[in-house]
Amino acid sequence: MSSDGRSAGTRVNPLIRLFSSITFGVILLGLIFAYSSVVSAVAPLRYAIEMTEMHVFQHWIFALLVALFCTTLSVATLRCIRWNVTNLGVLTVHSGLLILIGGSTAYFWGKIEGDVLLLAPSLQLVRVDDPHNPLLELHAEVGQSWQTSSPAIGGTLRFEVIATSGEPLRKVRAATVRIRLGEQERDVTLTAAQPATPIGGILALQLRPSEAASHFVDRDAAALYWRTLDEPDSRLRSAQLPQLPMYLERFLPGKHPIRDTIGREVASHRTEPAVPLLGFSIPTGMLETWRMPVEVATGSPEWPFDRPDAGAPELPFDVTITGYLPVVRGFAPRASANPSAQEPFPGVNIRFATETGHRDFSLFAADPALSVTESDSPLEFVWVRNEAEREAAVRSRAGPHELTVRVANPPVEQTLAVVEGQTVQVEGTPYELTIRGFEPRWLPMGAAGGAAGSTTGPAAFVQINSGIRRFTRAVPARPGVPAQDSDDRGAWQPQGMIDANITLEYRSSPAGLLRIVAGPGEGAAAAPELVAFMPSGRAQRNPLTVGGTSAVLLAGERLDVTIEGLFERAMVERVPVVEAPERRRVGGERALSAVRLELAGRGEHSQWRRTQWCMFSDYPQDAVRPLRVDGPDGRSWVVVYSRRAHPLGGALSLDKLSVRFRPGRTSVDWWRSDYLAQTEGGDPVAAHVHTNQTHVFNGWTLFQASAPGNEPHFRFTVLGVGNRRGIWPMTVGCVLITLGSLYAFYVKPLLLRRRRDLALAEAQRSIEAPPPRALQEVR
Amino acid sequence: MTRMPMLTVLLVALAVVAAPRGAAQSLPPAFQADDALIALDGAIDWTAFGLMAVQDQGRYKSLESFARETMGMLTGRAALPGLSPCGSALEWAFNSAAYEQQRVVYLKDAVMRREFAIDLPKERRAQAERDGLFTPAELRSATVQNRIGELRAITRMASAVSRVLDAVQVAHFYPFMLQAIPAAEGAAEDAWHSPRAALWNLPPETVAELGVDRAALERLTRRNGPIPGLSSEDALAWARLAAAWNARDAAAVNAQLSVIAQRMPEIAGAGHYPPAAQLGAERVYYRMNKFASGWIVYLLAAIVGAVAMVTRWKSPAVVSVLLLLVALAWHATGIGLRWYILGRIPVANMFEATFAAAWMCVLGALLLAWVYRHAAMLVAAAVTGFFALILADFVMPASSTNLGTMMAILDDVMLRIHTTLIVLSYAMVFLAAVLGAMYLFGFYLLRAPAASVEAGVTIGVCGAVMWFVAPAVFTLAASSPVTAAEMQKFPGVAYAAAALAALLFSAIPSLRLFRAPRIACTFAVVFGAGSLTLAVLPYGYFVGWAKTAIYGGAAWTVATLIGAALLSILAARTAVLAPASGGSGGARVSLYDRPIMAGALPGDEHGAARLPRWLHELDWCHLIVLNIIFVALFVGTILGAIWADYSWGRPWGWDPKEVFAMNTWIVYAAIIHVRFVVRDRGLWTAWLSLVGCAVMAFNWYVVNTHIVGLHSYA
Repeated sequence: MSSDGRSAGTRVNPLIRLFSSITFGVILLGLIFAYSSVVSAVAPLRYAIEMTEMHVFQHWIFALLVALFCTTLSVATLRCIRWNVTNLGVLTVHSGLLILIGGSTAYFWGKIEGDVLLLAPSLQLVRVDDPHNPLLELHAEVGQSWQTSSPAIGGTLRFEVIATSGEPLRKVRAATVRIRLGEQERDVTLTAAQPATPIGGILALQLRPSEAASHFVDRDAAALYWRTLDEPDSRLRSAQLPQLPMYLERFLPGKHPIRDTIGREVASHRTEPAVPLLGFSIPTGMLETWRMPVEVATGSPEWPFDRPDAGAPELPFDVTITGYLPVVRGFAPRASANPSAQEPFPGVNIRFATETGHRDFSLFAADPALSVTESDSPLEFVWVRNEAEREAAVRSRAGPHELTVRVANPPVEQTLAVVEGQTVQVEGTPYELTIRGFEPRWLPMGAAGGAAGSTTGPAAFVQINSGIRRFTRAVPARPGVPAQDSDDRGAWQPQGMIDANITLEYRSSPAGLLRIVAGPGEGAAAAPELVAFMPSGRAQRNPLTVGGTSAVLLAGERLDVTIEGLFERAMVERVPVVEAPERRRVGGERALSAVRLELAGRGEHSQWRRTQWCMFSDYPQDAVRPLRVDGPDGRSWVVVYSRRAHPLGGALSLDKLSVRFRPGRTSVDWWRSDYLAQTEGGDPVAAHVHTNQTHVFNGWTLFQASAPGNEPHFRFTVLGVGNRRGIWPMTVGCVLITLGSLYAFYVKPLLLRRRRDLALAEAQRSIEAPPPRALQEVR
Repeated sequence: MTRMPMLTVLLVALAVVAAPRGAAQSLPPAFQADDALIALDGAIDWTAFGLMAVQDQGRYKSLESFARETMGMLTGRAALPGLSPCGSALEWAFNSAAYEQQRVVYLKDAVMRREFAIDLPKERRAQAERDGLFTPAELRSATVQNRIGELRAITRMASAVSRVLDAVQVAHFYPFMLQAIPAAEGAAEDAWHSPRAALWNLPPETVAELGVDRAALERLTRRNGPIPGLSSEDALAWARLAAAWNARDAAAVNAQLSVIAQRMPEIAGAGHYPPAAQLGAERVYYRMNKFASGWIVYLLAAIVGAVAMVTRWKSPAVVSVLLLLVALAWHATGIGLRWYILGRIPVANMFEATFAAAWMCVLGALLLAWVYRHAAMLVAAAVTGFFALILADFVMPASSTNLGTMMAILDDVMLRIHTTLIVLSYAMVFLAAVLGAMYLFGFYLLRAPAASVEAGVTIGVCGAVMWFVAPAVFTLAASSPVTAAEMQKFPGVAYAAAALAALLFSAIPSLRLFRAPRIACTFAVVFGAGSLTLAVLPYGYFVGWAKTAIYGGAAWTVATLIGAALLSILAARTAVLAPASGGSGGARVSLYDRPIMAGALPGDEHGAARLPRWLHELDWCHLIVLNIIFVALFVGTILGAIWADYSWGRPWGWDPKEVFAMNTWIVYAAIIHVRFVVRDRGLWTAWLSLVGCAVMAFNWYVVNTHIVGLHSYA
């Protein structure tokens, strides 16, 4: 082998000489090394150009480097290496490498990866008033049973699946369940079509039947789906969103600023593929594929789950995506004027500022959930209609915990400071109150023992003894949240009081409370003010002005308070709140993302405009966060932002998920999904995947991707799906490289040594041998 | 300030104003076991009790192991100060509330100390940052809990936060963790129960005596009924044990321990209690410090081997081999015991992989040394074993070295094939790097001893600067409005800071204290790049890098000076440093007959005649190992792709681990081809071998722990 492809005596094309150069090959190796190291290890770089690991290695720059390397390898092999047995090793290695790269090209060129969600047939125990959030799920398989005992639901509840029926692919379409509640037992047949069957008045049982999945969704590629709600059999249409960003906030200016969970205003990253440099904008469209805004091709939709239907209604508006947020934690209300409202709905937008920064709040006095911030030391908005209400709202409390007791018959009212353990005899009545404790963050309880709401706040727990009955009353401090009683068995009463003759009011600010008080109209009676309640109960009043900034001194600290808007009739607009960057977890990609949709009516509805945020749903057909749009033509639409669907070429239906637990049942060490697989026109066949075992279905490789990890309720399984073309060339290439390396390192030296020994022996013989006959004759 | 919502700050200020003014808070005391407790612990026979089984973290372990592990999480040591591990476990299970205000929870990571001490009074904060000891009550505060939630989101902080969470769990929930009462009914994997849960099984009159109603019982035990199959007598044994322990009654404690140790295995369902031999082996394993202390023997072997290599004396060579054999045997015992206890090959996490790979590598190098009769292999093998075990003993957190379960997906035959081969190849990469470093040392000793000394001094000075500057930088960063977490999310700030550091380091050689600033400058740039990387890694890495630079630079300098002195005194380089033979009786296989790597042969490079034979031999040794690495790395990576194909449905997905496995191999492919085109082949090979080792280390450690990917468990 000669280095650098130099060959004496001939003039070689400079290009050929370049591609024959080992130095050039090593440089290309170095560039490949540098490229792959940087894009793999420096994730922010990939995020900046909105590319996944797979995308960045399909980039034309990487492809170019690999192509140049292959060319160099080929030319150098042909020109610089002698084709003989000695060099068989290196020739094999180089050939194997080229075959491996060829196979890899085929593999990654059409690579599709995604997953399919398979739901197991199950019995769902739900609350009557909330059938969409199951309290419990049980695999709908004959013999499965569940039991609990609670006085709140009427004793022992047990149900057992005694029969199921269905079709070959969908094995459970109906289930017969034996239900026992207390001493009563009955058999009920549940089907998917029928509503939930009530049990004991509070709970209900419903069936989620077997379902077959005919599509899987792409791992990364996004799509927008829509269907109308006005046609019962309306199917989802979709449009791909190949230019949608994935990692960074990118949005065009909007009506309201977007803030993070710490309250800071969030700025958009670049919204066009260009980099500003020294006052110039350098276009980078060659390097990155994302764009903003993204025009959604609703005019030429795909029918991922159905064949095109000539009668399908056309979407009556155009859709443009003008914003993308990767990690949305929720939506914050923002108050704006609502002139068309009939009833007062007071709202305020207020800003608190100090030397170190500011923070904005929007509160709505008439909505208990929106009138106060969720915090140990909350901010509250109180709307007062007259001077008496104002006085009640701003006066100091009797102590850290203040209780007002009102008895209707005989009429008694008493306000006093209370402490834990204190017993109070209400004068002139048989009522004796015992303060059992105070809870700074209490969540109202429901009948079945679960939470009845999602708003927490301070509450006092008072045991009331009326002389006839003894019960406990939870008295929330938050205005508008009703008190709740629990009977002597400990069951909470979801509605109504055990004894309506006595009412309690509790006020407390255990860690301080700021209250904004304002009223209708103009003048002193309407003037807004900020009242600071100390933990001791003492109140400090501070006047505020609408539209202006007022300086307030609190505990020696200056606080600038600005009422940016105060509306007697307000409307609630929801603005997304993004997760603060320092609190974000890596991974999950689009899972918590949202897109801002600008909807513009067409034709006669061209004046119609809407702006709405749509959260991501993992699976389009089982969308958990769809967006409802009331269109300009009077029809309602469901819009789903999800992942692109690919047909499986058949259908899969989950039979069951099995798990094997480690000691203690806190972690799983093995999963297995059994399912029925049916190709188009074929019969269903039983198949399975489990940890470290795949199954090939219709050219797609299925594997166990995700499943419940710590409870045996068998609710669902997620199978990873992918294609794998070019595997065999890759395998052949790898084998050749291995064999060639072994030959080059361990066989070639033996050949060289044997050749050297032979040469030495020959030389030795030539030294020791007598001179040729002709020479002897000459001599 | 920006870290806390402003409204909260204001209201906290309000609360402070309203709060009664009291005397300045005194500093909490450190944990101190009283004399009665120490005497009690000393009077207890823990033999049988320590061998009882506990169900914890998905496996069964001996109670003594459980105590050592959990106390390690809590205090950083195997036991509470002054107590035995088992005594510590019982004291913490029965009396942890008494220590709520004592400094007992040890946080190793400086960043964690600073983050969680931020709201403490000034004096107390300084104390906590200095000794790392917190009270359980301090860690219970809302500020700390919120901060833990925030820090968990940061990938590079994940390991440190995970250790804090372990400590918090032990501090606050220990009575629930001690699951030593077997499930009498149900399946083998059903959860066991803690002694506290056994309160439900006490006779009603006993419960009445305790004055505990049902609600209190539910709150205390976090369950709503008795343990199935547990007799009231067995429950009473635990209650009596607690009472006797609290009364410091050694005789009663011994009596109850004896009863409990006898009864618990009998309670368990048939075949559900782990065998006593396994529990005993586990106890031995922990008492022997997981056999990581073998680094001492490896160190001795390396020193003696170096003497043998330089002097060619026979005795040191024999002693070096014997020491290596002793170390290997000790090392193998640790691997074997771990394998027996866990019931699987111990290569499933970083500790196990490092431990096992080093052993295989040392064994392989010993065989190579035997075949080729060259002491350099012995020295490199001993250094490899030394570094692996010193990492295991001192650098890896104890929690990551404990016996534990592995990810479900790892339970496959490929764990024995792919993982073993790939970690072996990684260990060989390190071995090759040691040989490369030896070559570089020799090369520069001969070619440019002054520059070599200068390089060593520069490295040491850079390390010293980093060492002294680190606390100041850290303090500055912590007190700046840009928090460490924000720097993580906005790495531009960190990169800028690191670039500044690189400039500063580069400025050191410009002082022209030495004669060859070009080389010193090279090293400074290298360190600048190092600090650039370190800017986004935890503080501990910064300090670790500085220490390594100080010690490494000093060692290099001293060794070069000694070498140069020897050269000048003896004035016969080739005579003194002639090819060394590791054993007597001559070589069975000539070094020059061994398989070669592709590329030009050693000894024919530029200026070959001016280099002694021993240096060429080092290059030969290096190439022998590089041959093995090239094949093993490739085959190991391809086996990983095969595993990924039947596990994740695709052989290759450009996961960071896969990318850097490819990159590591690319470095060795480059070495082969670089030898065709460069003049100083041995020199280039040695440098590139060090680069390959750095890429391997990056792939093994940084990718596993700081870059999110499918291999984050490894």
